[in-house]
Formats: sequence, C-alpha cells, structure tokens
Amino acid sequence: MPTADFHLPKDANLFQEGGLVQAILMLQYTFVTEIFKFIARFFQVEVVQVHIVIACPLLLSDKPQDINYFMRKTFLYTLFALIVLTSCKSEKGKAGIGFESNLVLADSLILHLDEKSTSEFNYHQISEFAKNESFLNLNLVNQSLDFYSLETGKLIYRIPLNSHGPEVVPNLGGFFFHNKDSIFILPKMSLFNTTLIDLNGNFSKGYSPISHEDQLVPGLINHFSNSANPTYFIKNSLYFDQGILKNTAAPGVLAENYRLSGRFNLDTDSVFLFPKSGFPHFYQDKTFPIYLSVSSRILDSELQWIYSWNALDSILIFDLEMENKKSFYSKSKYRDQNFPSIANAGPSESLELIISNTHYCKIIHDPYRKRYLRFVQLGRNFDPYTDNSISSVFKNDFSIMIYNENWELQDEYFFNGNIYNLYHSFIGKKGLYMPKTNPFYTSLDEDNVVFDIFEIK
Amino acid sequence: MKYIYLLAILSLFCCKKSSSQENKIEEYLDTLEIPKSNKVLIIYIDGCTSCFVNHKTLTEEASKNDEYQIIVVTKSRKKAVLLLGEDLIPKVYLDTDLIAVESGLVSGFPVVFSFSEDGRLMNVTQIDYSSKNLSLP
Repeated sequence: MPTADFHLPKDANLFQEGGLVQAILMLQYTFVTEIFKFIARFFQVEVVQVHIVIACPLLLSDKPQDINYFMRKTFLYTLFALIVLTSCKSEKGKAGIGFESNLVLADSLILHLDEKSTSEFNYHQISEFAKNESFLNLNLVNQSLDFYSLETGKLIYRIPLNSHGPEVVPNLGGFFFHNKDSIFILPKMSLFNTTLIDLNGNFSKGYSPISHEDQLVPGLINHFSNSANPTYFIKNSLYFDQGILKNTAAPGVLAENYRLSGRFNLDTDSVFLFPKSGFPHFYQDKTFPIYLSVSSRILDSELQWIYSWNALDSILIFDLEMENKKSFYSKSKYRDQNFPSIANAGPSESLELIISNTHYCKIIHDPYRKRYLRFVQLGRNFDPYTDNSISSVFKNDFSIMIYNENWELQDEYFFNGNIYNLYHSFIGKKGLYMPKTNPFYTSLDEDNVVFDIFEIK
Repeated sequence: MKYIYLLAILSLFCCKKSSSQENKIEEYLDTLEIPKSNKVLIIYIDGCTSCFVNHKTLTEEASKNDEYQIIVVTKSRKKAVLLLGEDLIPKVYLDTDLIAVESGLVSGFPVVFSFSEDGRLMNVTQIDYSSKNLSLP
C-alpha cells in the first residue's frame, strides 16, 4: 500500500528490495541535490562537493534502509555544510560597491580602433598632445606610434615608423614621448639603434652607446621598456631597466650582484649601471621563476624610483641616481602564505608556482591625487589541463592596494579576473583607466575597446 | 560496505583526466573541423610581440607546401589579417578562442605536428626563432 511519507519497514533492505525503493531514494537524492547545487552556485562551491555533502550521510549511514533517517541526517549534514560555507566566505572589498570607497567606477571610455590597430597596449604613455590629454600607444602590428584623445577615444594622430631602410629600429620595443620634436624610439634587448624622431617621423639622431661595464656579455644591455618598467628621458639621459640573462630558478643566481637599472647619457653616448639596482636581500637565498624575480619600477613626480618586486612585500624607494634607499613594508591582505622556493623548477612547476601564489605585479603613480596604486595577482588553484601558458595568469583575480603620498595604505580592492588587463591600465586626469582587454574576456569588440574609469579618492 | 563507498568518494578526487598529445591534437582538429594532413603547423601570434616578422615568414613558407595545414592562434582576427596580409589569410585556419593554448598544444614558439600515412602522430617539433634558418620539418 502506498504511503505518503515514503517510510519503509524497519527491516527492509534497501539494496535488496530493489526497484521502487531505489527509484524513490534516487528521486529524493536528485531533488535535494538540485536545491543545493543552486545554493552552491551562489556560494561558488564545486558541484562535486555538493554530491559529496549529500551522499555522505546516505553512504555512511548505519541504517541505510531507513529513508527518513537518511533525510534527517542529510538535512543535518547539509545545514552544517552551509554554515561552514557561509562562514568561510571571505570579505572581498569590491571597488565602489555599497560602501564608501576610495576607488569608484565612475565612467567609461570607448577607444575606437581603426583597421590598422589592435587592442594591444603594452607600450603606452599618457601625455598632453594638441591640447588633448592623450593616450599614446606603440602599434607594433602596424609599426606606428598612435595618439588617441582621452576625451573622445578617437585616433588623432599617427606617426608611421620605418620598417625598412638604414634608419629602422630593429626589434621595436618601446618609446618615450618628450615633446613634438623629441620622441625616442627604443629597441628591445639592446640600446643600439635607439632613435630620436620628430612628430613627422623624421629621423633626428641615432644612438649606439658603448658600455664599459663588466657584464655577463660585455657591451650587451638587455634593455626592455613597457608600462610596468618604462624608460624615461630626464636631464639628457635615458633611465632604463634591463632583464637578467640567467635562469633565476637555478640555485645561487639570485645571490649574485647584478645591476638591473641604468642611465644612458646621450651627451657622452655612454651607459652607467647603478650598483644598488640588483635583487633585494630577500631574494638572495632563494630560487624563483623569472616571473617572480622581476619588479615594476616607475618614476614618481618627486623624481624618486619606486620598485615593487613581484615576490617582495616591501616597496623600495630610491633617489634619481639610486644612491639612497628607503623601504616600506606593506603586505597584501590576500597573501597568506610564503612563496615556496623550488630549485630548478621546470616550466610546468614554475607556472603552477606563479598561478597558485598571490604576488605583486605592477605599480603606478597618480600625480593628480598623489596616490600610488599597486596591483596584486591573487593565487588560485592551478589546473594542469587548462593552465598551459603564462597567459593563464590573466584568469587570476587581482586586487589594487592604494597608498597615499606618505605610503600609508588606504585600502585594497578586489577585482575579478578574465575582464581587465592590468598591464594596460594607466592613470589619467579622471582617475584609473582599466581596459577590458584581458585575453580571456569574451565580449571584446576589436574595433571599440571599453576602458572603465575608476575615480580615486 | 560503508568503507567501500568512502573509498569510492575519495577516488573522485584521484580521478584525473589523462589525455595524450595525440588525443589532444585530434580533438583539437575535430573541434575546429580541420581535416588532418601530414603536417599541422600551429602559430600563436599573441605570445611573442617581437616575433611578427618570423611568424609571417614561417606562414609564407608553410603555405607553399601542400602537406601543411596552418592554424594561427590569436584573440584578434584583425591582428592576423594585419600581420599576415589579405593573401595569406585564406590559406590559414584561425583559432580565436585560443583553444590550442588552453589545451597545451602551443605556448610560445610555433609547433609542427607530423602524422604518418595512417594518421598516427609521429613527431612534435618546436620551431626555434633564435636559429637563423627558419626551416620547417
């Protein structure tokens, strides 16, 4: 005789009575599972965990023949699990949502890209041009320097760069716009053939400096310049960074003396590498993949060098000629474990280390509001099946630490991964511009790129 | 009995998808609906910004050889057109979802997958741009 509450006789054996009982049980199981899958999605819990939470009481029950007993136990287990899940949910300070914030989404700009431009903004600079606050971008695909108005988002000027002939800059890898008569076009992995042009693209002067420093490869400067480590023109010199040429995952390499920043004097055509620009003391007894052994280095409006090393909590500050140093200890609230120091880590091991450990990446200065913004990539679970390239790090969530001019931390804000490309972000008069150019952003319009503008207080 | 079920649950955490390079490339070609040929060249053009000239040279070389299927992996179709030119684009397949990167078939330098007559994967060769001679296998 059918019963309304599906109560079985105490002596019924679930696994032998077969058909109907198992079907009822499966229906109940499915029903409960679906409810909790819905709740799990809200709490961002894996579906497999839901099955485990619900199946455990059934499978471990001393009385598997009693469906009511199973349901009671399921209820208690799931209630307990929900309490745990709710209590574990971290407080993530999302920018500008629901409370007083120092970082508020205030506006957005659409950058209109023509048929010769792509959404790659690794080499950019903000400057006044033709009475416009302008976003200057080195267009490597088109071999040109493109100027966009930050008011309208439109292309307002373009300098074609020679791709052939004696005045070509081989291995184009950066630029510095000083004024309309002095635009430096910089090569990558060298300072040879650094070129000075004017606004019409006319060649003014070429430089091939000689370095007399005692280096790993004599005379070679492994120069690079990008938005996290720009090369600057100051007092007739170019101040630059260079990359290390050794494997930093090998023991002892980070303990050696390096000079990773330097000054290229354009008057004397000579290079001087700063003795204090090597790895900080923190690195010296460790081994790290190269991605964690680099820094972001910028010049602020007080002509101080600000270094944010990827694995180091402290921020290092030097004067222009890198003689005096200050440091401020400041740790991201999302960094809760020390970096494992694995000697001779292979590519896969290195990738896991980078993706699964919270680390610092880029620092920028806001001269308008006297703030410093430090980006932090937040560690997540490494997936060996889909995390196959360093670009997977763009899936990681990130945070922004905001400091005032006295290096007092104001707050730290959480951002989801897969949307913004933090290396393309910059400061303008309106605030922090963050383009939606993450490699995993699925709604990218190749002709109209959205830059969200965050007001900084 | 309950210990058996407990073991079954624990085994959920131990089960890992295992997929060989051969399975991956076959699944990849099926997903993009690309007919398998003797050689498949995959070039990830978003990976190295200073390799644009080499990417184009390599694509030109491979396009002259009927044995090759060429797949260009990039988020941006526009970039592929700008980089390779209108003439080369009809000769390549585009992977704009970066599936080859996600599945680990390519990460930096271009890769050639060589198959035997009966369709078995024989060789995987990475093209090293640091050598002066950009020769295809």
